[in-house]
Amino acid sequence: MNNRLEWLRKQANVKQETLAEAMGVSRQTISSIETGKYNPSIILAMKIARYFDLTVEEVFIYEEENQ
Amino acid sequence: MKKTFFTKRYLEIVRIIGMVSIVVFLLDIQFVFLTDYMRGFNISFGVTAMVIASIMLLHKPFMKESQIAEQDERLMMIRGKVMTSTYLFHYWLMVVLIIVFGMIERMYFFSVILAGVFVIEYIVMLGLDMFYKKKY
Repeated sequence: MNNRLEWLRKQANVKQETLAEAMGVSRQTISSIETGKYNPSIILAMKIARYFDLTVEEVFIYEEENQ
Repeated sequence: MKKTFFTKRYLEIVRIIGMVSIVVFLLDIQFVFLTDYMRGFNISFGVTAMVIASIMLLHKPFMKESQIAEQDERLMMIRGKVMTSTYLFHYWLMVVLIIVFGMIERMYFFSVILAGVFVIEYIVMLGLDMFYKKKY
């Protein structure tokens, strides 16, 4: 799953620490989501989307894996 | 939904146990029912537990960090994976050790090797923790 989190965060001029604190997670978790190492739960994805006033689909892009 | 902060609860319980230990020591001064060893243990354990737990509870940055570490879903997933892998490692290590112990007659080997098992398991847990934190 890809996401536009890093781009959105930089557009909003928000630090990873600030976003992490608002989401109640560690800074490393935000970093892992941005690099695509970790896919967040639905709840965290919705919280992130709401933080930027967007829908989940606008932040996270699901791509079918090649079989 | 409000999440339970287990580290805080745990430290509060440790502090209460420490207080109880000190109260037992104080009661012993009046009624003398403990052995010298138990008297020394009660006061030293009680004071240590109460002081350390209180310091940790009052240290706001530490508590905040603990709360995030406890409720962070990525860290929860890593902890789950580490525990599952360590359990499997433990399971198979015990199978091997039972076979090995069957061939050893000296009993003290039991305690020495079992103590070693805990050390090895802890090292495995640390290794897996580092591995998963790098992976996710």
